[in-house]
Amino acid sequence: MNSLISIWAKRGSIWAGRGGNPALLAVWSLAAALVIYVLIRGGYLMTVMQIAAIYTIFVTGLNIFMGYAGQVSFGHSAFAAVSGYASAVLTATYGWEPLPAATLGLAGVLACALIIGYPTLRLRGHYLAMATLAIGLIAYDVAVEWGSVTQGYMGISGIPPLGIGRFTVTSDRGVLVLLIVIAALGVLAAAGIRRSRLGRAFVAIAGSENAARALGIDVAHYKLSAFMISAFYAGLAGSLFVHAVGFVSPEVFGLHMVVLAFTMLYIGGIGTFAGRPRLHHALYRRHRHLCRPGARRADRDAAAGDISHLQRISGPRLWRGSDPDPDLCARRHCVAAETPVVASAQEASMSILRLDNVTRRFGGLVALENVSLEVPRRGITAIIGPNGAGKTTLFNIISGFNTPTAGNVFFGDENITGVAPERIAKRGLVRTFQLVQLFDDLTVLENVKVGRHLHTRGGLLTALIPNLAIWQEAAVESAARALLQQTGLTDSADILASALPYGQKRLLEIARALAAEPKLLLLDEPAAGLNREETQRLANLLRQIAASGTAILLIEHDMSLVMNVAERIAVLDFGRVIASGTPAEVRQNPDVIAAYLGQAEAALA
Amino acid sequence: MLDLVMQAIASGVAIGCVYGLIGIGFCVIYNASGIVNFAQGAFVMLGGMVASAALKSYGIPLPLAGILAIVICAGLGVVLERIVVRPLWDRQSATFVMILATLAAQTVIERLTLIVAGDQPKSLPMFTDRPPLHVGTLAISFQFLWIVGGSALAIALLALFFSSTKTGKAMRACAIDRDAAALQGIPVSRMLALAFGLSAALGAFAGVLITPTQYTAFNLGVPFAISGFIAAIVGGFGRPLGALAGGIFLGVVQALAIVYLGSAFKNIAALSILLLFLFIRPTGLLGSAK
Repeated sequence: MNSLISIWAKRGSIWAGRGGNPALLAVWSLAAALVIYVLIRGGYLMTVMQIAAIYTIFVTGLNIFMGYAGQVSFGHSAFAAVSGYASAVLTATYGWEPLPAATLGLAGVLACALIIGYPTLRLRGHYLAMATLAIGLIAYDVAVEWGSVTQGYMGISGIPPLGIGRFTVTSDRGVLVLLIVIAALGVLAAAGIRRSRLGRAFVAIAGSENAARALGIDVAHYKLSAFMISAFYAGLAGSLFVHAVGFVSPEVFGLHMVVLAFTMLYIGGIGTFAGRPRLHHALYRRHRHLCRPGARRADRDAAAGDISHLQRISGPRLWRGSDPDPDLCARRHCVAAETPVVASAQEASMSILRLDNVTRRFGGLVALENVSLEVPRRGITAIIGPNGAGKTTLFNIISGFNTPTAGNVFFGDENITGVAPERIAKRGLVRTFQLVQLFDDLTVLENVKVGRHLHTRGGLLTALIPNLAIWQEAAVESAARALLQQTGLTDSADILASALPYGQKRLLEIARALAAEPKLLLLDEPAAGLNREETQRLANLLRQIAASGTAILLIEHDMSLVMNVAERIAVLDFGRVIASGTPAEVRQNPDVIAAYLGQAEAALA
Repeated sequence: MLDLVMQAIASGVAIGCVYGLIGIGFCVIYNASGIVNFAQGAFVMLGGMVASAALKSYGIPLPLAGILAIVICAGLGVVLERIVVRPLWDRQSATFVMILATLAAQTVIERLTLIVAGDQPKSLPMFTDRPPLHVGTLAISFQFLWIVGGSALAIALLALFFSSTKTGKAMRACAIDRDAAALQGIPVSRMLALAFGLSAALGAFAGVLITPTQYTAFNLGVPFAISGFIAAIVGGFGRPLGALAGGIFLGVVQALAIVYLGSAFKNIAALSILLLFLFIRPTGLLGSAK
């Protein structure tokens, strides 16, 4: 029994992580099923194990919505109730076969999740928690009050076990093995999702919705996807429950279902790392809770297994070998990129971004007033100006996070005024943020991979069958590593982004933005908080980027950097453009000296 | 029919005042800390339970029993803050963790009450045991007057406390900017404990007021908390007067739902109001639309 529990718990630890291996899972679950088949013959323990397997499915689904995508739901018991009651009513009352009944129930769950999710997922924090709680309670009330269908508190009994025709699983042991296999597949699918493009988008949303949008991720769409996937898991758990137990009543899907699931998630460490320790600790803890007699030693075993496992996956990756000289790489990149710049001098004079009399008011405050600006297709343009001049507002308007009160923004030939950030990103305009916004729960490498979102395809199908996207993933991996190389972050590729020192966080944010292959890169104070040496490296990086054909628009307070790299400068003061031109022209403009540079130069001297 | 509707509205107003008091309890804590205390309903339940026990088991007269219940609950509120909320607060735990912790506290209180007091519903006698007053065809019980008057008094006292006492002003300062308040020498952590005590006392007062008209039992905490929360949301979260208005609105809608749709729809109506406000007007009745 002890070995069984530790096998179970360890399996959770292996499968919840990023490094899961399907073959190993198959071996483990087969072994577990075999051991269970031999050891457990019935009674209390049998029921406990069945319920545990069903809750594994429920919690695994909830973890996709809450752990991966960082949302909150108190209402997933409603989805379990929908399919649970569909299964119960269709089989017990109308004499359907269990399989079509459960299938229809799950279809109903997806429909409900779509309808409920659409308005609900716009909410955040406490509001989201309360709205979902209300949904769960409404489902409970309906189950109680809709007596003609649900039999109210009495519940429905005599629900047949799962199966098709002659192949009906009737023995308790058979049901348990079936449940374990389904739970294992569920965990495997969740692990697959976590490693895929889809899962990266989920975790990115949890980290920073704005940064995700700036990289072209349609946040509303992905939240709804996570919600529907987790609702599907909940519905699956609901149907399996009623067929396994043969009985259903409203109490099954009461608030305690969610509270129990939350406890599992929280004890698993929902705040620590998306996907990894969360899930397996939940599994392990639940077994400790449910299999009271003789479980102590197994717990210790499981815990020890977990720790060694964590060390294993977070340890240095020796097999990768040393990386080539980064300087050499950078130089090669530069040389290769310089030729087309000369060739397309004419193209360079055309503007990629044009602001036409943009005005933005906040109440009585005029943040921007008739700002007109052109950013050429090549090279580095800087916007400077004192604090409060409206620079960040300008960036927010260009990148779609804010709409102008009047005026238009053109990107290329297209009017992008009022277009959503993710759509602007899709057109090739990508930004960074004044306060660095990384996806803290993703590794440095994964952060950059999220940047490839717009240039990759694939959703749930490729998440579940990774082989479909194997070439794409390889391409993403090598592109991401090349960018880490270029920004000098290769050594940190596999640590969490939150663990990077500040200066490197800035570089990572730029690398991530570059991964989206922008035509125009907007950098909001990239040198803020960097020391002299880091700023120097940043200047080199910016020149490289510009040389490779990406236009840069940059807000910066560091005058030496601006004068060093920018080819054109626009000066903003109190929401107006007071000067623009080459660094030399701007430097000599009396208005500018009065408004800004006078003070800055004094400060520098 | 019209008489029935008027009667329903009157009882809706009374229960709505109680929801409002619970909702104000949410606001007091939320304003001082940004925490939504999901254990709020437990104090409403306890208010009625403790008063009933004091009255029936120890023969303490009703007014004293009520006050005793309120004082004990206020003490428990402070204890809750110290042993559950404070450790998480100091660790700057996530919203989700705080919700889960207070929900767990609610369950613990509920189950302890079940063990100590049993599962039988408890009740309190009417404060004034006289036949109801008749205004036209409308029958108004004295408990109705007690509830409405008591709520009005509690809110007036609360307003006075926040506007005129040094402690009340300090709590408001914490609500506006915690760090700045701390820099001014306001003991922010003591204010948090005080907020929990005050909020628990409000809940217990609501419990004592409502118990004579219905009953109280160990498992009524969650329904009370949800109704109070809906009142607070409808009123625009964090606005005490809004919570009162929201409570009355909710009480009346619920009462009308019972008349027109049947008692099965009482909770569904309440939760639908919650969803409606969350989706369409999250700033509440009195808040400005976004």
